[in-house]
Amino acid sequence: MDWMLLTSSVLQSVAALWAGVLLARRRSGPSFVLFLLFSLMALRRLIDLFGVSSGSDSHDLRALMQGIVLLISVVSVLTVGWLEYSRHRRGRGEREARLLASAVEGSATAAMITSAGSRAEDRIIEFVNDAMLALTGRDRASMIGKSMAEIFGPESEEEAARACHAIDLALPLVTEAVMPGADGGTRWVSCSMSPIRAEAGPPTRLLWIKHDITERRRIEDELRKQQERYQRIVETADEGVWLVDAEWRTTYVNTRIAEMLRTNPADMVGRPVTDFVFPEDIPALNERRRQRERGARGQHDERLRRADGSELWTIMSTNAFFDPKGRFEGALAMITDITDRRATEAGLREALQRLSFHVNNSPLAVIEWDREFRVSAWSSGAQRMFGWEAAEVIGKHPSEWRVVHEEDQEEVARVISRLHTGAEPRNLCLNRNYTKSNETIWCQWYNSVLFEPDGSVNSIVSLAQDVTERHRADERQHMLMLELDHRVRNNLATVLGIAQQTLSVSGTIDEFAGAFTGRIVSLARAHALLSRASWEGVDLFALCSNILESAMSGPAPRVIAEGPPVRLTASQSGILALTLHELMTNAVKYGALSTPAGRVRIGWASYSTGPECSLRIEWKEEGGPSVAQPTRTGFGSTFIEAAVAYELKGSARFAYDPSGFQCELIIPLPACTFTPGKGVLTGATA
Amino acid sequence: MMASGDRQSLTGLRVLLVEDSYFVAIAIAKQLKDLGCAIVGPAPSVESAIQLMRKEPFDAAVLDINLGTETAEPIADLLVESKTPFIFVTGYSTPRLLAQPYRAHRRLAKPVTPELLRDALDSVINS
Repeated sequence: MDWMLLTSSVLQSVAALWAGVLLARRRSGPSFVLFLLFSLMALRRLIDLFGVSSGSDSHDLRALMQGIVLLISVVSVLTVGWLEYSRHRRGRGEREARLLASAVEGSATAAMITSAGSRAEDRIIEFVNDAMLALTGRDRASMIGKSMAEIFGPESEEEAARACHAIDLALPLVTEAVMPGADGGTRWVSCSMSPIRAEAGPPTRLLWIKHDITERRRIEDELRKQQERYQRIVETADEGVWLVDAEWRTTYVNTRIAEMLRTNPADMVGRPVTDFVFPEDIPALNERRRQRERGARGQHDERLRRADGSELWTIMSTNAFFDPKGRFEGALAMITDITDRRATEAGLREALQRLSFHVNNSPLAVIEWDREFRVSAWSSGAQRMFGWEAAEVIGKHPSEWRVVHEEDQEEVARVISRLHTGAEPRNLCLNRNYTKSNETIWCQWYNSVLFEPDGSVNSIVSLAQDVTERHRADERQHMLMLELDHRVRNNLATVLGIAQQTLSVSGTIDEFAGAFTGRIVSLARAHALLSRASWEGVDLFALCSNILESAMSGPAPRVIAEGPPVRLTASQSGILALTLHELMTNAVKYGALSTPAGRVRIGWASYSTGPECSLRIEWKEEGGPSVAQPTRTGFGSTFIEAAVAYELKGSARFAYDPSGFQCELIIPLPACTFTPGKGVLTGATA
Repeated sequence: MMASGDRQSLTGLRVLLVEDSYFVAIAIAKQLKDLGCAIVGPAPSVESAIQLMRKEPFDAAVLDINLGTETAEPIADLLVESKTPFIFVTGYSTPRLLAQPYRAHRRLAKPVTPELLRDALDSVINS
């Protein structure tokens, strides 16, 4: 035996054994190659050993053996290479599987693998990760080997059917369901099931991924409720809500605005806002739209057109929306129906205008005073009556400007006080007022107080009527009454005087009756003239023609009176009436008019006597019987001379010219009523 | 007997008569004469009355208040000053034309009668 060879064989065998152990332990490619290498080397040494020991024809056998060893070596190397490649491949799949397993294990997503049972009771849990344990609140031991029904509760028919269907077709399935939670409550989970199957055939396992969506569901629920609340608010609001997009097309309207426009929300969505306004309002609407698009907020009265074409007046409050880049996205308008209110307002305005018109066109002054009795309103009538404009008197108390006559101030203060204290809710006051031009006018005031509910004074309204004319008329009336009384009494006294005088010169009662009647009638005629002229004087010619009557009328008047207009006073006309009557009576009885051919001429003129004027009246008879100086003075001449001198401060002169009686009266006039010197005088007594 | 005594007291009484109306003046003058009075006047105006008052003595006066364009007040003033008794006669029922001091003065409304004149004069003379 070759000891060296033996030793080498033993060492190589030991090395092959070590490599085999290493291979068994490490199962790595290089250890296997080493094992094979050392095993083959050990085998060769053994062959070499045998060949040496047998001796003969061992050379052929040795070559054969070497060929076989070479072949085995090549095959071994190839086999080791393939094995090593496939082991490498397998090893990578295992690593990936381990990575996947650890990823699933540590994932925050709850995962679970079950057997692929068609019903929850049949799906046995084989694997759960920590997140699944956290989700269910269980430990691993209480889950592995249990059915899903035990852990997650029974599933509904529908769930079961869907799961069955998915498993049959090997399709994933996503559902949302409730499950008992770790805290004993229920939790919402999103459940995704993925069937796992081998290369072919039906799925053998099911992978379940569960997400806890309780919080998401709660938020969604909250949002939904909130939206419902908003929806309810929007739908039940009395305001119309109108949403438009960037093109001002309707995106949403609530029922209220649709009602206002007498249509329904569905018919409005998609339509431009211009469909709901009157054509003439579109320019203004466009202007407002441009403002809103620039970001201006605002509230304004907007007229809309209802579906039936009628007017809808609204208050529209519009807010625009903009995207983060500031582009206009749309707008929200809140709309209040003010059609009725506008109609009421218009009615009120019109009523107020009417009232204002009537107040300002009233002949009465309408003045409103505040609780301190300061002017708060002053009508046009007040301005016309008193002259002051509203701006000059607003805020003033009557004591602050000269409007109440001094003598009436006490009474006016009393009237105001009675209104103020509530003693008289309304009263009258007749007093004098001043106008702006300082005239005094008489005003009838009608005052009334408007009280607050608590009884205090709110305001006072006064209507004032200018009764100056009426007041003057009343005064005149009063004066006339007194004057009438005076005149009647004076006349009765005069009549009594005439009666006494006439009686003293009358021989018989018949003579008295005739003379007395004639004198009274003359006086009555003078009175009638005076009365007709409102006691403001009688024209001398009128007096003559009245007293002398028929003698001055007809185609051939027997008395001709001529002269300029002269206005006689009441006293002058009374005396002159009686004078004319006496002269006429005398002329008819004894003078010119006692014969058919006789005539009387009466003429008068004025002449200046220094600063004053005098009137000269001439009575001239002609064509009558021859006149002689009377032997005694009668009533007539006595009366004329005395009365003209006494009452008229004038004088009378008689001339008994044989051709005719003449009388001249000179009467001073209080003022020259006509140009002195003019007149018609006969010149007989001049 | 008082009445006859009174009547006698007017006899020879010189009375100033102021009255603007001719016929009324004549009538009152006649009544006064019938009462035994002597007439001073009559005067139709304040001016003529004052002239008369300066010239002629008199014991009492009968004044018509309204003398056309004036009143008899200036005459009354002078009479009060000289303490001469007087009465007013007037067509007015009310004393509105008179100044306050004369409103309560003895006054006769026209037309007057001799009896009224006598009583009125009596009362002012004896007061």
